[in-house]
Amino acid sequence: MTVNIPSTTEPRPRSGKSAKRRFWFRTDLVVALVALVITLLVPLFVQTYWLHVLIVAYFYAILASSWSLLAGYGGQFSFGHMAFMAIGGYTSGLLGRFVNLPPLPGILLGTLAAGLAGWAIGALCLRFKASYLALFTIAFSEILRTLIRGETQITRGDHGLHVAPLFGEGVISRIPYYYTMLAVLVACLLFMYWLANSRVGMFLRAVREDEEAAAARGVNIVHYKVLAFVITSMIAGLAGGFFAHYITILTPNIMIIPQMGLVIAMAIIGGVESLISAAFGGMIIQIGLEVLREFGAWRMVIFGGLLVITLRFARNGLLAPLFQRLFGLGPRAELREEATTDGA
Amino acid sequence: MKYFLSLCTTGLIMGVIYALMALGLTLIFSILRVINFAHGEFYMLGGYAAYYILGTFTGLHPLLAVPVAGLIAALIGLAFELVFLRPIHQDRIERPDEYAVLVTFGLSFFVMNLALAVFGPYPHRPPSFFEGAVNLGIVRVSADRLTASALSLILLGLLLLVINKTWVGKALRAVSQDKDAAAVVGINQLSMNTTAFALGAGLAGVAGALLAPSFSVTPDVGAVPSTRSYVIIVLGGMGSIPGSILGGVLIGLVESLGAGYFPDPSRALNYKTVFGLVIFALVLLFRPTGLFGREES
Amino acid sequence: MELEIRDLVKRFGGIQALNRVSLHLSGDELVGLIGPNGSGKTTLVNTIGGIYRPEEGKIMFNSKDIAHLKANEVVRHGIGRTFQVTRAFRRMTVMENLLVPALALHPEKGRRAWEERAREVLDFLTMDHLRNDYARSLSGGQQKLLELGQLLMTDPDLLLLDEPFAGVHPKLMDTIFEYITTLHAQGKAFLIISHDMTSIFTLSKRLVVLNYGNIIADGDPEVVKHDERVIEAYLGEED
Repeated sequence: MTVNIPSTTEPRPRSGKSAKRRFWFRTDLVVALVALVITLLVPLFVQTYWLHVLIVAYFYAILASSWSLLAGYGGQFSFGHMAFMAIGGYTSGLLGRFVNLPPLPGILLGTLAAGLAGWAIGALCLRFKASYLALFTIAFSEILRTLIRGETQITRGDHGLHVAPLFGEGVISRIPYYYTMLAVLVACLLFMYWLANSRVGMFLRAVREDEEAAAARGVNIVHYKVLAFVITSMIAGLAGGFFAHYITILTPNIMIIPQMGLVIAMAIIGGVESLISAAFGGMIIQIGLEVLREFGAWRMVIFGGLLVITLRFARNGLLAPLFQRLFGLGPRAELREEATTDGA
Repeated sequence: MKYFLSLCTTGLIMGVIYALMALGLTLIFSILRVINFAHGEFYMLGGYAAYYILGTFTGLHPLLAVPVAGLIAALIGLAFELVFLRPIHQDRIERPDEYAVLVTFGLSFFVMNLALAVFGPYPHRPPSFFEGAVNLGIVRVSADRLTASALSLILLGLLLLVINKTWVGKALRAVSQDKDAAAVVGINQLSMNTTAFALGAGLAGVAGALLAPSFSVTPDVGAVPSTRSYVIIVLGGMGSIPGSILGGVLIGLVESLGAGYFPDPSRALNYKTVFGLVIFALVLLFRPTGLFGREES
Repeated sequence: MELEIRDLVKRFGGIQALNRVSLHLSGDELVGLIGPNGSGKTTLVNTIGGIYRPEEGKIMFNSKDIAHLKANEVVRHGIGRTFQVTRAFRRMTVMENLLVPALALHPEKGRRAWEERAREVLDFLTMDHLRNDYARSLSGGQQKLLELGQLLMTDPDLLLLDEPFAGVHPKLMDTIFEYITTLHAQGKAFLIISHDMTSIFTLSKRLVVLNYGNIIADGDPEVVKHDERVIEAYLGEED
């Protein structure tokens, strides 16, 4: 809440902290292009094992960045994201199992199913404050997981549901999968970035800033809060669909709460208010998990500790300030400076 | 009928223990207005503490480990509250509501993985309080479980006494009702917060130590009691002490009867959880103040 | 413009915040709403504005019943309101603060057109140089002006101002005064809550007095000033 401090001096012209995006515009593009070229050429230089690691990393990047759109941008800290991802994957997998639906239409339907679930959950959660939203979405996720786990005749439960590989049984190379997941990631990031900078993004931010004030200024908060859920759940479902048709086996373990915790850690450590930072948070942590394999269970301890410390002392994330300093990248770059000095 | 009564008895026995842990969560919520998403982890830490205390001091009677385990959990809770939660009430945290959710969840994530790394994934079981089983007429209960339940009952009674009769208890109640008014009469909100969190964590730790001989401890042993505690406090009414006690007993009964009467025993366990969660979700939607709770200000 | 409030009742638990309030505004009236603390002034504005739903009663605005509309729908009908404690969007720029209501109500006009209009509004408020600053870096008075600017963007027929003069530097006070009188001259109606008696007596030709959720006086300021019930209501409160 703003405290109304009486102004004791004349308002004088100040330049303040204004958007500097235009100045860095070209550097933005150059960096993005270079990054893209690198990722495109990677398969030429790495072994299959690392291709797999990167595919999984891209998968988590999609999840972390879409979660950050819902949470960091829209202010709705949902714990149901993995459930939407699972809906995407299982819908496609089950349609493939029971009606022999090919992967691509399956993924499409999985995405729509996730969107429908997102719509329902978003509508139900409208009046929930942070803790109730967390509780409700945890309940939703656990109910779904328990059902999937229990109805073994349909989903094969813990034994695992076999899902057809996207490029057919004949293709053993991971390269096509690599480019697919990369393409999905880039497409999602571009879409979300566009959305965040559009008026939808502006309304979402207004709703997050002050819901009542936003309503008093004409913003249909119901519409935008639900829209945020629908869009991000569809992206999660899309990721789930593609991932399912890559790893070819689905178990309810993909949606256990610790997995949700991992995605949250990725987004927060990366920078929850910046899509690109969250995406990189996802990639770096996933790659980090592989690189630090010998640390075993301590890997998660490290990331868990980082999560808590980041929350307390570097609220805007660890990567976000770095991106901002180096490239002026990401929205709300200037705000980050302010926020970290605000006693956080 | 006998079956029904035996199920009820086991339900009540477990319900009392659930109530104790839920009471801890309620205390934290009513004073700090924060849902402690790491509550299950304090339960887990209590269990491990009991195990390692009794492992180190082998001559000690297992019952004596319980209060110590609770104290350890309380101290860890205290440290966490001071570093991570106190700044909220000092207005040093932006968007405190979401921060509280995330930071307690983060703690849960961290502690669970720390336990996994340090203690390993295999179950540990501290020695029993008392060997064997006890015949309660209609049902046979393990001595450990009966002890745990009895102690929980005593502890609940003591707590109610403290909350209603002592100064600290009254201070806590004052803060939970109106923290500004409490501040005006000189009650230090920050100390009350720390006290409440430590106490809540300690209660979870005691519950963990009490049930460790019966169920063993693993790093993720806290997950189910955690969710159960949320269900209880939402049902009973967030911030309501009698609500969480009654809620605990109710959930104990529901679980016992549900498992006992479910037609398909292989899926009984699964659906017991779903049933509870669905009720939980419905209560959140339609009656968020629970059966006994107060309106959120 | 016609605002007809009939027998409005708003309860909070056991408290009757608005007790059968009836009020009629038409044309381009500028009405001052005063009353002791807790008399229900902000509650009335919140209820008209759609943040609260009344338990009973009617609110007719330009012949439409708006009593049960949501806040964003009420805005669409041509009512704008400010908040007692300014609620601009702190982590958004001044320009964005102005664009939100504009694009929310009339997205078809396009961002560029609205940005131009926003700059006109900012010029009027002498705040154009701040347009890319974040609202949180503005002074309290400037934030108040910003809120008024947000109202201007939606071009309402009726403006509900909740304590527009509270805690404002005298220089800014003039700007706010000018804002109100200019818009009033253009035919807009106002319902202004204020504790600043000087301002409100200067501005309005009609004063409505609320006490414990009841309207106890409604009319010429000079008459109202001497109404014994009004005096009693104010004397009864701790000054």
